[in-house]
Amino acid sequence: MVTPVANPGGIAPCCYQHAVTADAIFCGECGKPLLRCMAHEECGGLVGDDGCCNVCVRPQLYLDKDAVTEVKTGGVLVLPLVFYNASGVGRPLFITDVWVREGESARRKVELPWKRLDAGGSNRLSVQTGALERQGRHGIEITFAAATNYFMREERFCFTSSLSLEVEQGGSLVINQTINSSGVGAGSDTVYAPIRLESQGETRKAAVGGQAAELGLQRADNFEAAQGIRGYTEGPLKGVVVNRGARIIWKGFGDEAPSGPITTRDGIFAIGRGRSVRLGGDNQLQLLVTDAAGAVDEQLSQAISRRHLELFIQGGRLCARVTGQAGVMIGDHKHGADDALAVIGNGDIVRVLPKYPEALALQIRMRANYGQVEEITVTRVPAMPEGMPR
Amino acid sequence: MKSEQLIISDPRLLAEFIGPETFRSVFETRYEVPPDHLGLLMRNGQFVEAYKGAHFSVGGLFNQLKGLVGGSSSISLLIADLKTFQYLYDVTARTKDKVDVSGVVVLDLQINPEKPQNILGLMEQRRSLTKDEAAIRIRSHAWERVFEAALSRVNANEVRGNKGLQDMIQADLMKECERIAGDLGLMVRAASVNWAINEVEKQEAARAAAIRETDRLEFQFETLKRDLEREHETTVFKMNNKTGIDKLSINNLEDLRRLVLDRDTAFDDARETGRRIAEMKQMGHDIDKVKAAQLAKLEGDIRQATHDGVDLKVVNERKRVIERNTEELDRSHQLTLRSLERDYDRETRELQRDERRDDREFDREGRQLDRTEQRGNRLEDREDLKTQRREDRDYDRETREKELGTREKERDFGFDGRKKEVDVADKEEYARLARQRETDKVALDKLKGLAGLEAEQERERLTRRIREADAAHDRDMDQRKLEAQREADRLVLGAKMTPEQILAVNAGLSPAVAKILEEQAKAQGIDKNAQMDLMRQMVEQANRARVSSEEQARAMFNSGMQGAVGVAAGAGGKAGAGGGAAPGEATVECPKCTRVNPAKAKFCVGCGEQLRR
Repeated sequence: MVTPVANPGGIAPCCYQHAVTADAIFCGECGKPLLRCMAHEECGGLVGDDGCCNVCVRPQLYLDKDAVTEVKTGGVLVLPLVFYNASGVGRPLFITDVWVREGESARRKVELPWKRLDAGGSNRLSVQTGALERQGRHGIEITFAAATNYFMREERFCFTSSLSLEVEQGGSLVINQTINSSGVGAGSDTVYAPIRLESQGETRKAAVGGQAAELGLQRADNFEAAQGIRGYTEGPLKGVVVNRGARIIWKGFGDEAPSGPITTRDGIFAIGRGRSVRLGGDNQLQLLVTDAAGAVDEQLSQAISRRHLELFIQGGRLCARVTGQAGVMIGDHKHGADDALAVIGNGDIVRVLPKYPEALALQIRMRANYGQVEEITVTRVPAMPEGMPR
Repeated sequence: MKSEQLIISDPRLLAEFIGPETFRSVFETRYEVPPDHLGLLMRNGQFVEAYKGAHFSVGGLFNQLKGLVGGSSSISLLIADLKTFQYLYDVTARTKDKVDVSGVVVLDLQINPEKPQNILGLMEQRRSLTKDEAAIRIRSHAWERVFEAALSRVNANEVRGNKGLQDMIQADLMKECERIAGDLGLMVRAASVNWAINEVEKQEAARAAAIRETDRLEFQFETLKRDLEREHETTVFKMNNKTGIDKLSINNLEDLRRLVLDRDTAFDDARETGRRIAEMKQMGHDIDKVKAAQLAKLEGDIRQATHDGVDLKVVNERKRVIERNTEELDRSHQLTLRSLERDYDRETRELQRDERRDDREFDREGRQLDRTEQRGNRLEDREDLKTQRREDRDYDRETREKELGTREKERDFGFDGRKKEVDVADKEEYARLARQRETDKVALDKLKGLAGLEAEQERERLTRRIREADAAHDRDMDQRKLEAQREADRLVLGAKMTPEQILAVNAGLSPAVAKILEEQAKAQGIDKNAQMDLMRQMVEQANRARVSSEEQARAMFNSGMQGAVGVAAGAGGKAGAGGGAAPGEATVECPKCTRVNPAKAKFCVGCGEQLRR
């Protein structure tokens, strides 16, 4: 028997073993749903509730060799950082932002001259501290945001690392040097040029033996929510993150509603007029316009595209990509097939046919516990009579 | 001690000598040369030192005593202005296209601070040097070499804003100045020429102004033209639109009648309007005529009254009364005319409103009728289709039953019946021939009795015809017998064959081949209907392959069917691969979703149902 072993990503090895079977939805050993990475076709990875794939997103941060970590009082230190992408499946990373925080001061953003970090590749970035005026140990916190892309989707995660610097009593010296200048028959001038001469001394090197020192990385989930990198940035759910494994409960869709987390291979829940997967189609849920008695309104149903809407959880938010020609109305905004991804919030009503808003709508409700959404209820308006096929 | 400042006495001067009389004083005097001036101290005809912003003192008792002992010295001081100064002078030169161009040259000059004493070379009288004198020296030399040379390379319309030309003139001027007065302590800091407007530019400006004016007029003309065209197009569009709508709305004869009626009504309205307008015009004409007659009469009365000595006041009063009456009549006429026009407009509008309302109601009724008719047509079509399908089904069923019955009867009784039919036909033919022979014999006897040689010839001809008819009959009978025998054989064979064999034989294959096909169909182990379908396929295949013998049929199946079976085995060889259980591995079926899982699985990989603890 294989015992589930915890690993840094929280995914048990047994889940990876069962995820090899293409159509497996649950782990046969531990019974957990298999949440596949959006790039599962390339990486074969699984994600946890935080949505981070440890196969795709494996950044490492190093302090370059010969880096100085000790400075005199009033001095400025330059930290040569090395970003390394340790992904073993050739997935590139994109370092979008870097912040530096010294002690208790506010974080400041560092301008990045590069962005792409190919698998197995490394990029260098020099971060300069401010003048360290106090003697003693100073903490430097380096936080960065790494993004992974797959077609039109993108997931961003923040990682942080901290290192401490020793600031010693300074031995600096101020010398006033006088320069005399004289003109033709016009006397002389005296100019005072203050020059600060730094006393040379032994400096402590961070790396041992000329090797770069790896800095331990920690997921900065709180920082992600605070910065709006993950989770909702406005409304009543501000700062709340939707779990990747959040259960989606479909109400009003008949008896065989596929409630549960999104467990498709690409993490996309497709909705449309086309038949569902159970009936040999491509959609996870078939949407047809019905009247009060449950009879299908063929004319209005034809206005729904075969694949009308794709739902997925990205960046800690429930997102939708509109693929239907008629578009959808989310809240008060109409979204067409050419628009960017739309974020669906709590209480939003997704009107499937904007021209016939009363024909069919999906009402979204989310329940948040401790800053995380674990259950999303999608209610069909109007609801289908019980016992009707979807 | 307070210093006395030594500067140029006149701003027009560039340099000036200060003579020894200035420095003669009893007491020592301290002089100051400001930083923007240069002081050249000369003693006994030689330069002692050049000062910029310096102090020095002269005179005094001590120096005088010293002079008495050691002899006196002659001291003089040259003050020069070190600041740059501008000099402007007019210049006229001829361009490449032979146009005289005028301009003002701006020269920024300065005494060379490195060689200030050389300024003496420019001073003719050792007293002073004006700025104009210094600049004119350069001008006379630079005229031909710089301005004429530079302008002769460009056309008159290219001098303005020509940075290259300005640079060239400045460089040439600096070069000439360096050549002329470089060693005299004068240098050019900058030079440029501000060109006056020349003839070519004037002409171009006038032309451009004329073009702008023409464009403006053209634009106004285009705007007006476009307005007129737009108004015209709008009017034409409205008229066309009305006509088009009328034409479009004609769907049947009633619409056409309505349209014609509308046209007639419009025509009548127009005619009525014309008639009224003519009446009004006539009425106005009558009023004018009455007015003119009354005026003429009044004037005649006035003349008569004047002639008779009547009081003109009374006459004028009467004239005013008549004029007032005439005006009132005019006004009432105008009011009546307007009232008529208003009534006419109101009636027209009401008629138009009624017409539009009628049109709308007509259209609505028409649409309702169309919808009803279409719905009725659809229902009728559907009913007709149902009835026709039902009839077709019944007819097909009856026909099939009849056909099956007939075939069965034919198979059961076909042989005897056909044999009887052949015998009966044979007997009938023999009887017909016998009757024909007897008839011919009677005719021959008659002919023998009636004619001689001619009858004999006729008899010969008849005999020959009889023989020919007998031979043809024999051939026909042999053919019929052969066909009857073949049919009889087939029926005898069919009575012993299975339906599959009959199918094959009917398709033209031999009974042996049909037997092989039947064996193969039965070997598939499928039901009767599927056997018949398979049999049909095999028969088609055998026909395509022109299989005629039993060996050929067996060879065909050995090669073809084994291949098909091999392909089928390959396709299904990995059964259960999608279910997650490896071949040969023990499996368990999920009670919830019926998915086949490996027996060791604790949970169903399809639905997550717990399979074991």
